[in-house]
Amino acid sequence: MFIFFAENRANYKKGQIFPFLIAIIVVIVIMAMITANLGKLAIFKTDVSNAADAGSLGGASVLSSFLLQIGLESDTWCANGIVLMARMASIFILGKDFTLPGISLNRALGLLWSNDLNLGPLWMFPNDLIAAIKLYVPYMIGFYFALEKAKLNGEMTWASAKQKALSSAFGNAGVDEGMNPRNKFKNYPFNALPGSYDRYLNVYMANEFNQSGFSRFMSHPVSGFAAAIGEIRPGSGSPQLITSGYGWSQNEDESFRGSYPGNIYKILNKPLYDNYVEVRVIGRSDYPFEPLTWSQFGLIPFVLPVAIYFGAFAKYLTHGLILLPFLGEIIAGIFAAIVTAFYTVVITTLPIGYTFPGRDMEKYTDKENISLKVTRYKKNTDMGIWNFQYGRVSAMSSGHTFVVNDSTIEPAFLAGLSFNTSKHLFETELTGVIK
Amino acid sequence: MNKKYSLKISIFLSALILSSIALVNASDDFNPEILDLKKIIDLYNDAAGSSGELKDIYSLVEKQFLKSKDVEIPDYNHYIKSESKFSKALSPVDIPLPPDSELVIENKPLPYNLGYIGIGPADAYHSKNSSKQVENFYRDFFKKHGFEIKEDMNIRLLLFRRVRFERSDMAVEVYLISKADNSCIVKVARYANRNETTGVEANPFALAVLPKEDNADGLDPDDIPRPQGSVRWSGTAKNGNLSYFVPMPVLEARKFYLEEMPALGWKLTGEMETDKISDSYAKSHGGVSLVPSIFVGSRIDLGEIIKNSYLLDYNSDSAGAKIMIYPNYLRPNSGSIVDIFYARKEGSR
Repeated sequence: MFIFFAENRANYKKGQIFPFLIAIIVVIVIMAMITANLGKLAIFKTDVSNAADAGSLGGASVLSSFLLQIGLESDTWCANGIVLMARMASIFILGKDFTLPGISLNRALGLLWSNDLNLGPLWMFPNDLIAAIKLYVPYMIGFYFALEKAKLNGEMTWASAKQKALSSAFGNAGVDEGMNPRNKFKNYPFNALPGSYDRYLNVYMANEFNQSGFSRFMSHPVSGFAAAIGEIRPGSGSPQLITSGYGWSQNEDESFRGSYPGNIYKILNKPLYDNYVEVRVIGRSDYPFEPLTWSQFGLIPFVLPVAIYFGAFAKYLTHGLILLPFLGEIIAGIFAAIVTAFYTVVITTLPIGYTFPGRDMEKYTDKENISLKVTRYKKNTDMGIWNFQYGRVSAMSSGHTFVVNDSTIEPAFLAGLSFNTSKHLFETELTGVIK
Repeated sequence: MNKKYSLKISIFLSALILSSIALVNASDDFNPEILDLKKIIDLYNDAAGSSGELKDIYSLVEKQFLKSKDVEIPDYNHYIKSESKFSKALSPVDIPLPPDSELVIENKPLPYNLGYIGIGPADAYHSKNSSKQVENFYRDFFKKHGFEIKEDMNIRLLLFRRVRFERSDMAVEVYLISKADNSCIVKVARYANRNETTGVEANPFALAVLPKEDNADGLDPDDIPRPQGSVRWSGTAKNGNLSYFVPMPVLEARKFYLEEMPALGWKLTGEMETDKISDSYAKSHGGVSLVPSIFVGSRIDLGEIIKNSYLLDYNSDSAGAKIMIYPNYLRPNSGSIVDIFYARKEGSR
């Protein structure tokens, strides 16, 4: 085209290029507008995507921290369980509790018995059982209480994870609501009130009404962004799907009109505001913790019952029954059988920590997502010569904790003969899809 | 992972617990007579005279490592617990004496209150046959008379053995102790009821004498109320673990603490009704109970005791307290036992 103009320039009058120039400028301006619009739209979409990712990752990190805490509790129970087993073994074999050195079981228990009756092993036998049961029953009741608390904490954790997901998603959604006080600043009676500037700084600026609607929405979880969950109480759990949102418009007087308090999910089909952001979170309501026993682990320390049987038998025999040939052996054998049968069932069924149903860690971590859908709407911005197009953009993201290096909530002791707490570390990751 | 670590953990746990016990052995208050095999043998032989020969049992222990198959213990969890309505006739079957036997212990006054044991008259026989032969003799006899062997109630400890036979109207237990010359001592116990066991298995706590006054070594916390008539069983406010016998049922004891604790500045921060959470668990786990049955002897199920328990979790400005209330398993239907785990907060007096 330039060669054509160059070869024929003698045939044209000056200024003929102007219409072309105008056309080119118009094209360039239009292209610039489109580019700018696409850029703004890209940032708009990126904000939404970031919000979804931040929300799901934030929620998953709450779950990860909680599972670490549960794993540490499991370790504590496992250690307590081993001590319990050792104390009971000591009682049955020696008639003493090694945590009470120098104190007989009778004195420790406060049981009354009479040496005058010379009952020998006949008093020792029930006292051994009582001493062992006195350790066992509170252990079991305490464990069930702890298990119940762990379940309630699990419910609260899922609710907290959803709350954290909402908070992170809203915080990263690129909400650009203006501040209402800009308008009020103009009308603030600086000259009418003594010390009014200090008052303005220390009272007015510090007052929450100085905040934008969105700030208030974010700083009041129960009535603001987490209104969908509501107040989190033990045992209340949380719904699997929750939706929260915030909308705002700029008024003619330059102030903003927001949807605070509460959310806007009821009006999404027909936006009442120029802008809104909506976040939907999906996730479990609880963790189904279960007690873990030695037998579930496929472990029954068979040496112990044998040791208990022999030790108890010898103890009862030597504490008087030895003076009763044959019948003494029978009685000692029956005593030893009763305490060994009790001890064997105790160590087989003793809860020593928490686990998931089927001891399946991956099912309740890798395969349990906290998923978000973030939707952002922005009314088109008419710049006079160009109408910036935004519309409605959504992004989805899922996050979860996952098992790495055999991480577990079960006692770390079972995974390597030491309480290596790094075994309770679950990593977090996310997957995101933009629409 | 399970198989990989199972054996290691089994050995480790056993070693851990046995070494803990060994530590106690080394302590000053340990009575060295316990488990001293030579002393046992000497004492027994002195008491039993020429017929004793207890060394046979212990020489076996010295020679070979004890294996799990050498020990059979009663499985009380599978034992029938309900009371039966069978004949009270002492012996519907005329049980023969052991083959080639003579009476070695007559029903004579004994140094202890052996009626508590509940194995019948203190008679025993010495048979020239081996314990295996005598056992087979009784197995054949009782099988012919419609008895079945209750394997889960048998006992075996090296040369000591119990075999239990049951029929609809009675039960019989044969106790056997092998001797060095391949003979054995035999004791037969009869029960006029299929579900009867030795008295000590039916109630291991029958001989326990419970305190009627507070344990003198103990001390109550000044901010925990005590139900009227309660007896401090053990513990002090210092070690933070106290137990009481309370002469009121579990629900009444619970009501007492719920009503009295707030007046002393306590706030209830949590409560557990074990039965409730156990039921809830069973509903979601196909009826499997959260609380396992744990029998002490053949009648007392600690699982039921635990299921009927409550835990009250309290907090005050100066301390925390967990109050566990459960039925008195030592004396059924006579109130409850209360365990209190009390902890002062740091900085409080």
